[in-house]
Amino acid sequence: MTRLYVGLDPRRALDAFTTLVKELHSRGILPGIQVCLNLESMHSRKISNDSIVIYVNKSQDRQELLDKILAAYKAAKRSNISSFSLTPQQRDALLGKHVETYRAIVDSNLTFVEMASDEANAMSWDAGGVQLIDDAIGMSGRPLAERTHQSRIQALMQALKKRIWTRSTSKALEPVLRNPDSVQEGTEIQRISKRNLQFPALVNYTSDRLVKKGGKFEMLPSAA
Amino acid sequence: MNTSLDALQTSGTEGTPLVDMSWKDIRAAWSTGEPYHAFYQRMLPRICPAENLEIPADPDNYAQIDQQVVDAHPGHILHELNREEVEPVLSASNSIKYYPVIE
Repeated sequence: MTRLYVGLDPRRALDAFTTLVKELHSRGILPGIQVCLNLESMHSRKISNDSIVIYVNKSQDRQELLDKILAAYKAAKRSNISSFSLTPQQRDALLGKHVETYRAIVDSNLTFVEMASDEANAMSWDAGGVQLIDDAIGMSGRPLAERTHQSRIQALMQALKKRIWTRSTSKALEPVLRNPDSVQEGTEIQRISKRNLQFPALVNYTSDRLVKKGGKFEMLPSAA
Repeated sequence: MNTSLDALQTSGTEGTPLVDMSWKDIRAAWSTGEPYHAFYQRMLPRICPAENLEIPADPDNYAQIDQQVVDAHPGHILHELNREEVEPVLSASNSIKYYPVIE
């Protein structure tokens, strides 16, 4: 699954949402995706980085679909730029939220993350994905006052080479770890997705491989 | 330095057009090898320190918010709002009729 987030001034979110949905509709994309306006973010008077969330579940033609969504988004933004506009302070605040929640930035409004379909028991990205990453770098157990941008960077640097195993990945690995001889080339376990701290927003769906070497398991990095 | 990422970060901001990249290119820009902490470090000077600034109900209060940021973070570069750029736009909220148009 790919999740796209549009961060907006809550007072303009409805206008931007309407414009975006019209563009998506006119291009025939709506039947293949889910588009949500986050009412919770509109209730607040603070800038939100998830005013609109788009879910792309299709595994086939994902690239093509995402290109169409991107084109619709650009057209919507061009045609109604005031609804997407941000003050410099709002833009910088959004940027802070984007990087703090490990999202990949497309522009000042649009970000995305990739998730394995059942990752973190299908929780939201903030509830599941960010929690997994924070756990991996030891941020989640620290007092709120210590969770500064600088301390987060230091923690990321120290944990750079770690991989973040999803709960579904760990569950699938359990029987294998108990019985290592059961792992065979080409089995599902080799195709299990996972997240790398170097690119926390991206999931490598297919190219990483778990192999058995000298009785031990080793994760081979992606060839890409 | 990841120039594709740099282009993405400034895309659509004042005086900068939206970047014309395919999704494949955007994804590739995010997986060229720059560690996330390095990207984060580069972004740090641009992250607004006063992240939880409340949106003012009246656009005139933007100046007040600007001053709060300046007081808290003297090194932060602020865009000076041009009041002549303020124009009416439709809004979901009846109480807000005017927004400063930045882009």
